[in-house]
Amino acid sequence: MNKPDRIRLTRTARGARPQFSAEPEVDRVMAIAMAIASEVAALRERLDTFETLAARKGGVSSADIEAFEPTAEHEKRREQWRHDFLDRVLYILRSDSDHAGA
Amino acid sequence: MYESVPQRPLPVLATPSHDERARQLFAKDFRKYIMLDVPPLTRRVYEQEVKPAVIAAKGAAPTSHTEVRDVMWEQGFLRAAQGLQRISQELMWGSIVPSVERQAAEINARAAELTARGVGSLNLDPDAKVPEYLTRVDIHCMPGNYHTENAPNDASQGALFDRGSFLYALGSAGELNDATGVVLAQKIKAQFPDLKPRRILDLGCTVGNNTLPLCDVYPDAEIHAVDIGAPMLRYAHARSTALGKVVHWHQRDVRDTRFPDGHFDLVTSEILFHEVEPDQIGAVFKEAFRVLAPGGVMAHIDIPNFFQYPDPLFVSLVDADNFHNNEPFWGEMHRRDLVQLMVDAGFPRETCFRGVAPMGMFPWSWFGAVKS
Repeated sequence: MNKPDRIRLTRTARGARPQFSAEPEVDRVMAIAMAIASEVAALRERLDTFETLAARKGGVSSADIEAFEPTAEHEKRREQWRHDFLDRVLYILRSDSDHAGA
Repeated sequence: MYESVPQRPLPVLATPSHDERARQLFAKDFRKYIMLDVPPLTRRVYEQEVKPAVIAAKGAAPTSHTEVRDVMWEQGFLRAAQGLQRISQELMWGSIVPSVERQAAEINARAAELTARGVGSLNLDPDAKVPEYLTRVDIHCMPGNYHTENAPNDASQGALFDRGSFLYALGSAGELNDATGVVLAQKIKAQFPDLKPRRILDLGCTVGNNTLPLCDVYPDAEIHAVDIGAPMLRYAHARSTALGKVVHWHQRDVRDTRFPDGHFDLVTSEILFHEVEPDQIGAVFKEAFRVLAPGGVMAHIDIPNFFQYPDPLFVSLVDADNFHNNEPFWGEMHRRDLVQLMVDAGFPRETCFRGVAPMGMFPWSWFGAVKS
């Protein structure tokens, strides 16, 4: 049986991207920084899953991690962690607003 | 306020891997942070630095939201905040696209199986023409927009939209991503208690998530829904079948639905009009008037009318999607005289209404009329 061609979705939305900083490079660095933040968040969540499972059963497989379902309460803690993480990564906004008018 | 619930798994929705899910929820919470935590910081910058500087230079504070936007943009903080808002949108779609792409063949196969079961109907038109105004940009930065066919008989683009619109609403749209449709259907029932629609037409239905609440509120009605995007409709039909709801889905332009005159007792839409080119809003009202029977009701729900708030900084912030999120018509409908457009379409002025429907942080906008 022939394997059908892999389906590809569009990656980039049609329409010009607005420029936010005076230098386009700054916009790019900002986007890269937030993409890294997303990866760190995913990594941290994976570790959190692993640690939770390891504590529960002693041995953990990658299939166990894929099958892991956080409880609603656990998901709330993760949501809070993501919020606090963003607070740290975006500290510059809080800092700028602290300095506003000074 | 933002009670975040997980989206209910459905056979046509992509199942994210552990890390895809983590990236998607990160994108959601990144957006939530931008929408809830950053605005107070922006306000401090405005109140403590920018506004006093304008008063010192000109003797008065800015009064319009465009003035506020200009001086805030110049100062720089807003550029960072709104640059991050744009990135949050890009990361949201970027966290979903690979997950859907990986499962696109399975999603399309499951959609075809569900469609073959024949609950309701799927009526595609290979000659349907996407309106020019929907081809200029991909609305709300969704790569591929509503009409791109990722493969023959594609439904995967619908899976992308279903997940993206759920995350964009910060998980507040309910497990079936249908809060807007529920609010509209209940509002119609409350405002028109005597209405017993035999047939209902829902305009610009996308994946039908907001259409299905009409099935629950009006179980005896025959429900039809139209959209121009075939992948949305294939997904919608598969999704409604999986949920046991009977709807007839049609690929049609909302300005020319090709149904007979007087065929419907109720014509609805959810979050459609802010994506219609403002000069075409009247054409949609005219089509609704044409297909309504005498005594029939037209009722729509759409984004809140932010422009009525007397706080120019707030208005400048919520207007950002217009500039930065490929929402070229965002808000413009609120600047139009919708009642006059309904009157021009044939509805008696005394039956036209334009008010609010409570949902989430701000009351959403609801408007319509009765054909006498």
